[in-house]
Amino acid sequence: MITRRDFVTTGLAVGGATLVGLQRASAQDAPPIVRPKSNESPPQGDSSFTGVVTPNGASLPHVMRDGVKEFHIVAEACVREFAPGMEVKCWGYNGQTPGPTIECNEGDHVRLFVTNHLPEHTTIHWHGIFLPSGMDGVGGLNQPHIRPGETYVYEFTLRQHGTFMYHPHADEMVQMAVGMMGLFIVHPKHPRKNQIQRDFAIMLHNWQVNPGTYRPDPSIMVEFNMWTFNSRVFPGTDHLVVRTVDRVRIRFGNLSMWNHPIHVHGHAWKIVATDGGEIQEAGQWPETTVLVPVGSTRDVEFIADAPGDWALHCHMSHHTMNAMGHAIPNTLGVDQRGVAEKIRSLLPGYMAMGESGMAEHQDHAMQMAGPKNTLPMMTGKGQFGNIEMGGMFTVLKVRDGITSYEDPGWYAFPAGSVARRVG
Amino acid sequence: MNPRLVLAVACLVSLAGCAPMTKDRGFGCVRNVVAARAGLDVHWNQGTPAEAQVAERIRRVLSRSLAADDVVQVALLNNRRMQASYARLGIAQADLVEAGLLENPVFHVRPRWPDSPPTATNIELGVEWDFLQALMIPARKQLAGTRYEGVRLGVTHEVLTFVGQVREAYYTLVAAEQLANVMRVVAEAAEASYELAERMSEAGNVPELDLQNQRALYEEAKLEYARARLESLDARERLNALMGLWGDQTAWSVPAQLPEMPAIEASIVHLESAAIANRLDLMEAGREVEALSAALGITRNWRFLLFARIGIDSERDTSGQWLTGPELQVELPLFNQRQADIARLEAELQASEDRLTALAIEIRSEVRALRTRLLLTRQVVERYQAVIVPTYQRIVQLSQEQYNFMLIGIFHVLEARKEEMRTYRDYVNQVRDYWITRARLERAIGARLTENAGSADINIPAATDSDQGPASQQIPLKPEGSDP
Repeated sequence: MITRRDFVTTGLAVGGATLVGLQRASAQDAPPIVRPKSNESPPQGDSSFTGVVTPNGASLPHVMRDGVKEFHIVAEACVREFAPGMEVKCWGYNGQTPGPTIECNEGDHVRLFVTNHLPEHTTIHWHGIFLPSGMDGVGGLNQPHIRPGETYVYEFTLRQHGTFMYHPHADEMVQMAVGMMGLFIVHPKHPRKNQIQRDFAIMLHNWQVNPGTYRPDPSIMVEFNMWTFNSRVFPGTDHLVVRTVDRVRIRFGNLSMWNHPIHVHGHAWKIVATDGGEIQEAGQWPETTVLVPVGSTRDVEFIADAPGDWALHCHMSHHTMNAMGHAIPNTLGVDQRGVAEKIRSLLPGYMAMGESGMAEHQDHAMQMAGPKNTLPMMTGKGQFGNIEMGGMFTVLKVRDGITSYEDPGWYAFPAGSVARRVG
Repeated sequence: MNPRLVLAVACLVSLAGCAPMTKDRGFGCVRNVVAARAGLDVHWNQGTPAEAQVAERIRRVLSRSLAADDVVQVALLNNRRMQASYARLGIAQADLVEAGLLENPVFHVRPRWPDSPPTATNIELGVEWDFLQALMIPARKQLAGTRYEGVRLGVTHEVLTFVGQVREAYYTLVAAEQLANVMRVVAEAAEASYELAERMSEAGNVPELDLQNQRALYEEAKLEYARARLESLDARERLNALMGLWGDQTAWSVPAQLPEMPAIEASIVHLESAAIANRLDLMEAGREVEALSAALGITRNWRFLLFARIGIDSERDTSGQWLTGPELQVELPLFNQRQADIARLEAELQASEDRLTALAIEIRSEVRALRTRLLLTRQVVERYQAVIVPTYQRIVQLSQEQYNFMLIGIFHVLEARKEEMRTYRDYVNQVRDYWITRARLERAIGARLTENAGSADINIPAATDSDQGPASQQIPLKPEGSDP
């Protein structure tokens, strides 16, 4: 067993080797820039692991050069559709936020070219990865800042496996607030005891995109209004499609400023790893909700043994809403008859809201004009009606005998298996 | 009667001619000038059958929604103070007639009874007449004519000034009624907010503090509305008084909104010189200078001979014999040679010239100030129309959109609506100021502003020759270049 001390020693030795590589690499050697489209298939030709599916995202292709796995990451501005009807002016990597997922194998020697197309300097910190201190990416502390137009190269050997993250460590507050983040997956060198059939990677984030605006506000510390899975909100989130009895792994990373208790319906999962490493089986316990703390990753695994459509969402109920006011007068239980007519004479089109709850809002919002580039606070339609959700919400679709993971549509419930009206 | 005496008297009477009082006292001139300058009709109520027509006309005008010209017209026909000032024409004309009248000859008879024979009564008969006054009649008539013209100009100026006042009162009223309606909407919005807060309070959703805050806002808005209503009632009463209306006649109405500004502003070049050429009070002051100058001339010319009488005198003495002969009395200017009168008139003339110049300078200044104010007010109104009012309307619309998506509460939206109406109130005030400034500028230049003309058109042709006095030549005209 490798002790911590052994590991660090080894790491230092490898680090020494990488310095040589660092001197060799130049910007001209960088692989071509690729901006993978969302939901593109994982990189081909490497069958030693089940490729990670990044819902609404993609993995970054690499180039092999002299036994070194080379990636080219570009920090740049991009426009991200959070859901149809809302586009956000973000910063990200290779044309997207979160940046494309980087997938490697334990033991890989990686060379990561980072080109800065932002208007200000940046760096990349490889969150959770053991590497030489000079590769850790804290601007000013570990390296000079990567100024606009410059390309830097990071180079190290991956000595661990698990779910890690990458993000700027230069003007971090602004750059992360506008979307700069990505997942860095290292697959284990040795096959797992339990083969995984479906491996999902989801980055959690929060944003303040003021209603009627297009750009996230980096000055916000607490009062965010958009809560995203891979920079998408429901109903824009891809559904997670699995086959019955698939062993499913979901990797959550959290670079937002809130902790998120992510809850799955119909199943229980176990946390099998954090960004600090695997959790011994003896230390795993079943849960239906995994709390993903700020600045952490959590890998959960479960057997999808219950066919159906199952909600999977953050259990902070406001995190499954889109933008809404948090200081609006409480109209619950307020009879507005008589007053509403008066207000309507002053404000044609006025509609009294909230007397018997807010569920009616989803239908109201369909009829009424709202601010530009703003999604209704609750939305989404299922086969039985309005789903009344937003933000961190998606659907785990477990199906018998499917041969493709294309979205199969809503679940065909067996007769008599749906709650029914009896009164 | 002595035939020679009778002949002399008849002669003098025919020589003098006479200036009988005219029926309209020169009011026709006033009417013509007002028609030309203000485009409106004036009528002097002198108890003629025309009065019934005038009353019918007033009744007809009052039955429709009154425009500014309607109100001014009714006021001109019906305001009793204006009627009273027309009477000044009668007084001045009486002075003029008096100036043309010959002094009456003086007849005297003196019987005397001797106290010793012969005892026949001695009788002396005579006629005396101050012929010098007759010689001075042409000069005095001219002087009186100048003064009469002055009064006529003064009365006409008063009419035009009155027209301006009525216009101001009209725009003040229309604006006040419009503002009251605006403040009613504000009060309604505040009322809706308060009622909603009340409902929320009943439902247990808001603390009493919020409720009382809403109540305070509501009460404040109600007071604002009450003040606006009071102002509109005051403005209405002022117009009732100006139009001379009472009783059933006070049930008239005006449009709900001030008129739009004309799309094209009146030509405002050469307004100063137009004002100098048009202002009737300036002409009146010029007549005063003329009159004093004439009076001074007469006094100077006749300083040594102010008293001269001729007469004829017959006396029957006690013996029965008639003695007849002429009589002449002449003042000998040994001590008083009218030095004091001349000095007094010279000083008065000097003062009147200074007053004339001062008035001209004041008129120029007033015209410049009002012209600038008119242009700036127009700019402000246009800014309100193009940007400010639409901005507040847009704010309401956007607030409502935010409300629709549950991003803000309805109180915010109602507050935005109140702000929109308060901005609209400011806008109405500016439009009112525009019209009032325009009325004042018209009063200052003594004519209506026209949309398409420079000074040439502003210079309305005078109704009578008497209006083309030398006043504008007598005062120091500044070079035209000083008019922008």
